[in-house]
Amino acid sequence: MPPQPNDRLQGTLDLLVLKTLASGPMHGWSVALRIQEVSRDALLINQGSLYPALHRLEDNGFVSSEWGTSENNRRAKYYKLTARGRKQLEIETQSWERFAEAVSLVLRLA
Amino acid sequence: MVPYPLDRFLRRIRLLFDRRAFERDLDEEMRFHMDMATARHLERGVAPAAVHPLITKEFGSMDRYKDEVRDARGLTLSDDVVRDLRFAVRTLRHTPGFTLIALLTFGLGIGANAAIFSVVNAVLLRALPYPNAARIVRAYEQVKGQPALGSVSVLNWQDWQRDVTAFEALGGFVPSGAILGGDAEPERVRATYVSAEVLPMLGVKPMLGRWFGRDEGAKGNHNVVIVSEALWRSRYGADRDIVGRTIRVEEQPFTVVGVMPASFNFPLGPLQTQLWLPFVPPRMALDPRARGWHWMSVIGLLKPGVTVHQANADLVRVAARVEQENPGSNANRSAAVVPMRDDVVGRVRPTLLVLLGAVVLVLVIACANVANLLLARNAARRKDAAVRVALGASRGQLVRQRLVESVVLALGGALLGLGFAYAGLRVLGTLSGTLLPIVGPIAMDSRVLMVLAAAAVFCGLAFGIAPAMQWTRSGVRHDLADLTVKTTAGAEMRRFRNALVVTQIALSLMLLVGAGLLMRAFVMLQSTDSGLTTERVLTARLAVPNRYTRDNTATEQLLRPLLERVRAIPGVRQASIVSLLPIDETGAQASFWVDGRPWPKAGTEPFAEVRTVSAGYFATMGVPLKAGRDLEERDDSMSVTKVIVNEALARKFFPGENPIGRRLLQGSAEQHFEWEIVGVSGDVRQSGLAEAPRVEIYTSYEDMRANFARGDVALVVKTSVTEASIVPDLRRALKAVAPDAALMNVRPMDEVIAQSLASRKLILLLFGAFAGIALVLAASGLYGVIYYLVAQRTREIGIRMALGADRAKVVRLVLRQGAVLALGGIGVGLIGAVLLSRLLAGLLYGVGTHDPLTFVTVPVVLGTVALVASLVPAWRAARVDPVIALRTD
Repeated sequence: MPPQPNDRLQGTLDLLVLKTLASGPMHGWSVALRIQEVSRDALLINQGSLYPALHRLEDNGFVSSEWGTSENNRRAKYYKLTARGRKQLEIETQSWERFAEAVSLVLRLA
Repeated sequence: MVPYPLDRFLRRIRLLFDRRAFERDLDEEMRFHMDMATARHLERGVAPAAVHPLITKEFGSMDRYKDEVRDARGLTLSDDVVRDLRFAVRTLRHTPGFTLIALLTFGLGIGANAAIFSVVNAVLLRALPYPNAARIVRAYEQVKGQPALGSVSVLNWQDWQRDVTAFEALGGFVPSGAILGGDAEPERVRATYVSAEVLPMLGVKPMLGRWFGRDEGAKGNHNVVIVSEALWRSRYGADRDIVGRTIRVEEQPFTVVGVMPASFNFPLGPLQTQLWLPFVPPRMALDPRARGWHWMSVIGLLKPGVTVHQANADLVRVAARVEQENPGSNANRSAAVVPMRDDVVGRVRPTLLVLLGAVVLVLVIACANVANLLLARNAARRKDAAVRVALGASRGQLVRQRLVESVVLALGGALLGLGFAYAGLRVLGTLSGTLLPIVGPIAMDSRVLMVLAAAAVFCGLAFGIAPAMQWTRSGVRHDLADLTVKTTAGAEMRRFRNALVVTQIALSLMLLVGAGLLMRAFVMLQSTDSGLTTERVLTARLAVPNRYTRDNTATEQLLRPLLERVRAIPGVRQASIVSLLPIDETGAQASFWVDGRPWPKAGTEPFAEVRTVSAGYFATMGVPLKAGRDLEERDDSMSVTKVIVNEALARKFFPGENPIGRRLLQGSAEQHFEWEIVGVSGDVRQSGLAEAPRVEIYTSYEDMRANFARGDVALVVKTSVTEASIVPDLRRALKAVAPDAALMNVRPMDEVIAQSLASRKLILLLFGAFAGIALVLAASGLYGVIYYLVAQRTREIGIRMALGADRAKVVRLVLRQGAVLALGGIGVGLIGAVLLSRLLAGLLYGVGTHDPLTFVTVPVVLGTVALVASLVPAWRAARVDPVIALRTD
């Protein structure tokens, strides 16, 4: 199934994951931690929902995955941004900023 | 946005193949997360008992997210399809009878299509085997206002070469033959003279050595030769050092400069050329007076980007200039450009397309049959479906399942069809022999297989869609609540099945009418009088070595002594020579006019077929002399050439006059030969049985002296014993006269005629086979519908009988159902048949496209078959026992 373009919530989660992975390869658990930390726990999402997002991104070719060894010496699946994913991150960031701007404009002026 | 769908598709396919690993990885990935979360909470001092609920709260349901991951990977749908596939195979195995019939039906339909499409692909679709194929054309001379395309004279070709602008090159070639001598047995091979432009133009590189060079088209520098891979293998033992070796061609030393690869076929044809020689126009052909001798073939390579249309305009412009400069020889003559493929296959294209159309109709009938079978079986599975809906299956799932099932059926049938097609192609290969202008081997290549697979899936969906949609339309739930009321359900479905049967009958009527018309035309042709008496006439082609024609000694040193020896063979009654065997060969024509009449406008003189014969030809071939006398040996020494004309010529040019003693002038008003008519022969259908006799002139074989281009002649022998028994004597006689000459293609004249009808016979056989399959399928379709109808109405029939209806009435009731369908189909089919017969018009020699016999017989036959197909179920209905029938649920 192609991703739903109008699904803001899903799209936002994808964007957050992409942005997080932009700083380097990491496994699902660190992505979850990172988003929680950076957002100062403001984003209340189920951690489990990261996994469909990661797989969705991999299905689209935006990230690639590889099994590696974690900091505590366990097998863990690491995700990495692909070139295509980097481009997608740019597009999605711009689109999100336009959207946010538009919303805040409406909130200020309406 | 769906980025890079192909990448993603491939990724998904890869997952499918390692499904178990994917699940394992997913599980491990999530468990790792859980473990890390647990460790973190414990570190932060959360009580161990509270950790699990906390993590579950943070993470959410693992099962749910696993499902979402599978969804994201597109695995959910494929899992369902796999399940449906398993289910389909299982149900199909539970009803082996149904499955077998459906597979066979569809297999036949798809197999016939695969076979015919393979031929179409090989002949019409596959690219010509030259790298430059798309830009290669043929160029012809053409008499203005006439469709016929003719050969080109050397001088015209040279003028064209100089002045055209749309072509990169214009090459010339002359297919011929040559006798190879030297170390091994003399062997007659197919040789083609090609100008230096031709081979580079085609773009196929030699396997060994090189092409001819530019300077090798010149006189005195042309003793070079290129051999085919096949000849290189068979005669020269695949010697890799052959380049540079000298071989003897027509008793002259020639240096081998190249070997062409096995795939190289030029001129294109089922019999590949074995030897290529440089085309050196004979000095005679360069004489200005020889501009009117049209005997060579021209091939052109278009400049990149130039269309055939533009090239044609260019050549017509040049030809108009040449016409102006040569008003005598080129009056009224223009030129035309034809794409190479059209030139090679144009003749068979309409026939092949008609056959393809016919075989597609067979497939439609087969699909209708399978659809009908599926519908009938669905009825038996209504309860099952109702139960499944009640248990929570969605309509969509039921429909998808049925579609998967019919596609499985179609693919299985297609696999079976591949087997049929393979067998069919082998038979077709032997039957067609050298009939098809093959561009490459007929084989089921990847294109055929792809079209086949697409057709199978399409058909599977097409014949599955109606039965599958049945579950959404009629209330399936209703069936469960209402299991006892069966006779009222599915009136709509019955109408649909009836429509399917009517279509089948209509289509098979069309095919039967087509086959009937072709058969009538074939019988008509076979009984057509050729004008010859062919009983015990043996024919053979005689390869005359070039030295005879070069020295003008063929008649004295070869033909005359040979005839003397042959006539002395016991069992031989007559023997003679003819330049072109009637019915088998045409090609020599000459323009002429009648002496003493005002000469017509230059270029509009009538043409006659010209055959060179020896005395006794007419007696040998059983052609009656209607007036005058035969040619005689002593005629040869006379100053004016004596000729015999056929009745067609006499009727057309000497109506009510005696042609004997009159003179014909061959050539132009200024320059011509004189021919004196000494006899009138009966008409012979010299261009084939389907063509009316043309105007014809027979000249004495002494004229062979003037005939430089064509060395070969035919020997015809009338025997009093079986034809085959004298063949060894014939060969001995030839060996004694000329050890380097060869006899080829020895066959009775009856066989020559039969072979001239071979392509029609093949078309008839194929069409007949298709019509036969169609008839069987349509009959079984009708049988199925009526049978099912009877089964459905068992209760009703029981009630009727209980109320006093007798068996005859019941039979009539059922038969009426069948008759209505059959008549409906026949009515629709007749309209279609009228349209179809127009497409066949070109093949219907002597039979109108509305041949009453065919149009009456075929519907009667089809009607009878339909009657029989409904009679069996009707008889079954009549045996219904009312008591049992009423008790059936």
